[in-house]
Amino acid sequence: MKKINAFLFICCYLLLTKEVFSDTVEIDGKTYNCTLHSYKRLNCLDGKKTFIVTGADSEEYVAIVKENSALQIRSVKKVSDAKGVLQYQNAEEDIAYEDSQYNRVAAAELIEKSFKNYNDPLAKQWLKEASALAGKAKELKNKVSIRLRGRSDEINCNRGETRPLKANEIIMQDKYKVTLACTMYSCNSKDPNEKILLTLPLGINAPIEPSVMIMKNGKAVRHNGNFKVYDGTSLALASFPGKKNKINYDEAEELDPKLFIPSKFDENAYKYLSELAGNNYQDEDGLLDMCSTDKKLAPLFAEQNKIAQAMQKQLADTELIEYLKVFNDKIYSFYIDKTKGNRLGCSYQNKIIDDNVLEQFDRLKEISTYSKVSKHLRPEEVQELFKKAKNMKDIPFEYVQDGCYAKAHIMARRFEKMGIQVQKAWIKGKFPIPGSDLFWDYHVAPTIEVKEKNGKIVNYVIDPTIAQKAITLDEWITLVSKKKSGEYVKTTYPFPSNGHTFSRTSVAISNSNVFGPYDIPDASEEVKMKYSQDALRKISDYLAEEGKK
Amino acid sequence: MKNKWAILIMFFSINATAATLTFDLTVRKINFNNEKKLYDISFNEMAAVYLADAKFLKCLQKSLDTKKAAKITYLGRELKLTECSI
Repeated sequence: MKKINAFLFICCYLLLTKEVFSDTVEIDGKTYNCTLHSYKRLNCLDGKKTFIVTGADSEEYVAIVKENSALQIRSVKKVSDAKGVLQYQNAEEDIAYEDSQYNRVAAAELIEKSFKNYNDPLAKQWLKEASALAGKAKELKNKVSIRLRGRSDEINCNRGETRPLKANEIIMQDKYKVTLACTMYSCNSKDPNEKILLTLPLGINAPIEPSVMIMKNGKAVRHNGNFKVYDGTSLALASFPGKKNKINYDEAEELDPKLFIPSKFDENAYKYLSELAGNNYQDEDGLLDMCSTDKKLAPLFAEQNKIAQAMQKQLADTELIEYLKVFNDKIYSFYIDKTKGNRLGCSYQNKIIDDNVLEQFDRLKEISTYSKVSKHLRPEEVQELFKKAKNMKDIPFEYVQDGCYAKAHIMARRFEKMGIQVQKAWIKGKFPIPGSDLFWDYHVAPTIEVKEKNGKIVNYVIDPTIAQKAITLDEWITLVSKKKSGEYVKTTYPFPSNGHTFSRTSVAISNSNVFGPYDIPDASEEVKMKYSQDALRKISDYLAEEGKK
Repeated sequence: MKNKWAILIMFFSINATAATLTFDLTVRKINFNNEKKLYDISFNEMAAVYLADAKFLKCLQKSLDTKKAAKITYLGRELKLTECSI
């Protein structure tokens, strides 16, 4: 019996400790046979090349390759085990790694992180080699030079001084093991009209992208790749290849970018213009925060600020037109340069509509119009209606952060049951959520036409989330956007999705069937109601749970 | 005495867990927010702009590329993502 127990024990031990499968890994167009030692740890042997594949922080597989006795990180295209594909990177996601001091150090650090307590002879050997390199990238260089692809000159750059840290920053630095330091460099161009600002957050644990900003003749272009950094040695300190993967995009990217570029700007300025809208300009402090006021850096920041302001103004003054186009069966609206838009299609409601919208013209009419109101409420009746809405206990008006689409839809349907004709008021832009530092991308609430005592028909909005009574449409717009009449554009549904890029706030009134700020063609009333009820129930449950705490 | 400790530990662990909300959402736009050093995320189905760490980028990009909904969990007040799966 003892022998049988011992045998079973040994079998179990072997099964548990020797979990080895056959796997394949595809790197640089070649497939290798590997041995999977545990989840996301593979050793692959190929005679000349030896590499270890490991899951990095983001749980992606990356390969650490030994080439010319140097450790380097490489992108892995495909990893498969006996059960199937574990990772497949398409060409767009593929990150090109190039040899540099920083890549070698990053490979070493990845080995340290992955194999510290890993009992494997190869891992131990690499760990020994890696420990000599690890940590070297943490030192920020004060003097570097950069080489931009397409330019023959080498540009020298000096790092700005780090300002004295505040007490809480020192605590944060120690607690989270991060380095808080100035990562901006002023660079000397041979061209006296050209000013260059380098952002190089090497060894800094923060999601700041390395970039080179080139400013000349009142225009600015930011390069987020296609440059190498040197520190006096022949091997580049760091290399930033052109990026294949996109980070900043929306449906507008499906259109020709030239359509969005106002005639006053050239094509290279577009990326920078989009970044301005993406709050990089407004947040100059975010980048400069750690740098003290420096004689060399300060004029560059001032120049960047000046160019950004001028470009923002030109952008805001640009004559635009709405352009409607169908993507994935949905009708989208975009602001584009007016002169470029006129030749793209025919005009409807002062908008340019693409040919593919004509095929869905009935649908466009359905969503962009609403029936004439035959019975108007009196001012006191709309205030009574507001009180009734506020007393709808199943609608969590106290949750300000989100859910306006669900609240608006349910209120609208209940008002209609009361015999009241309802529309929805939409506002699109970037608006601060009351009581927080967060933003709404849009906001919506039911609106009702009211006949005032002087006979004038005025739209009132019922929005208990942000108002204490029924308010006029203009008051509602000012409450949400802080903008007054003339500072926003009144349009029809669907309204432009990229208004923020051009500092435009759009307001539209739609019929009560429209559910989201973007056309949802296949959603039935049943689906809309269920989605709204589910969303409000989840929010109510959340508030109840929060209340318990 | 042991029970008192257990109650205290339970009390603090409940308080330490911030309340979250979970929705199936389709990413519409991803933007780096330089001020917060996080990504601003707009969803087709939501009105607010949410915040996400770089670690969720791959999941969010997949939703954006495939136009498919991801299961998103976030802190109800801060609108900061705590989970993303697709």
